[in-house]
Amino acid sequence: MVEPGEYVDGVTIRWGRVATTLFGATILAYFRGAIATFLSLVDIPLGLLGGLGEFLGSFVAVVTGIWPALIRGGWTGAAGFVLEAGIAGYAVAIGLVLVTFYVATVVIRSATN
Amino acid sequence: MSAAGGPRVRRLFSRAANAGDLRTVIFQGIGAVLLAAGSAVASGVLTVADLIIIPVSALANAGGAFVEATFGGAAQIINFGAIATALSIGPGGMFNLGPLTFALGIGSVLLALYLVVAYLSEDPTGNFIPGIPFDIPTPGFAGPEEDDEDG
Repeated sequence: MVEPGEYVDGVTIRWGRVATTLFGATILAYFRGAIATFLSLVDIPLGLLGGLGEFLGSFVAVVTGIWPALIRGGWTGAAGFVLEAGIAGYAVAIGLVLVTFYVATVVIRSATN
Repeated sequence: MSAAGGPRVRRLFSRAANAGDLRTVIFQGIGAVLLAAGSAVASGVLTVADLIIIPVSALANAGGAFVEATFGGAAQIINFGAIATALSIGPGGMFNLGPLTFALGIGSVLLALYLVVAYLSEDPTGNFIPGIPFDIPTPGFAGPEEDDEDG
């Protein structure tokens, strides 16, 4: 905090200190303004790039997030069927899993050939 | 916005007063400019890195979710099947056979084990469904051809 008492020596005004403070504050204001302008200009491409990164992340998450959601839905639908299978539930569940993995294996193998 | 005599302006005056002379003020300003340039470069590097890191981490998360949904879901449904079997042969269950219930439980486990063994012992085949004498056409997929046993 600037205290007026620092600029007065008895009954004499310390003009050098006053000038330093006034010009110094002005110069600092120029520097501060220049820095703020520079950083604002730099923020434009950085903001665009950051937005592009966020978009790519969201895009990848949406596209690749569909698969696990579908698989979970499939398993959830089959769970009700398994729970109603009574004593055969265990065998039915294992059979379902084996058939699922078999079909997945065949499809993946065929698609990659 | 810097109001006239506002806190930002007062801070400038305080810094100028604390600097003591104009040379120090100018050096402080130049230092601040260099610092701003450095921070801009660092922010640029981090932003470019984010451009790669964010999609890749999203892909990695999706991969983990895929594995968890595939194998975790399979384990869960087998667990449900075991619970259904146990409930059906348990007290009050539809298939509770009294003294023979234990044997029934063993039988259900052996049946499941048989399914697994039968699956693992099945010979590799190019047919879409193994164990049947003919192939189901699957247009669009070029699976491996059966070995020509006659030739």
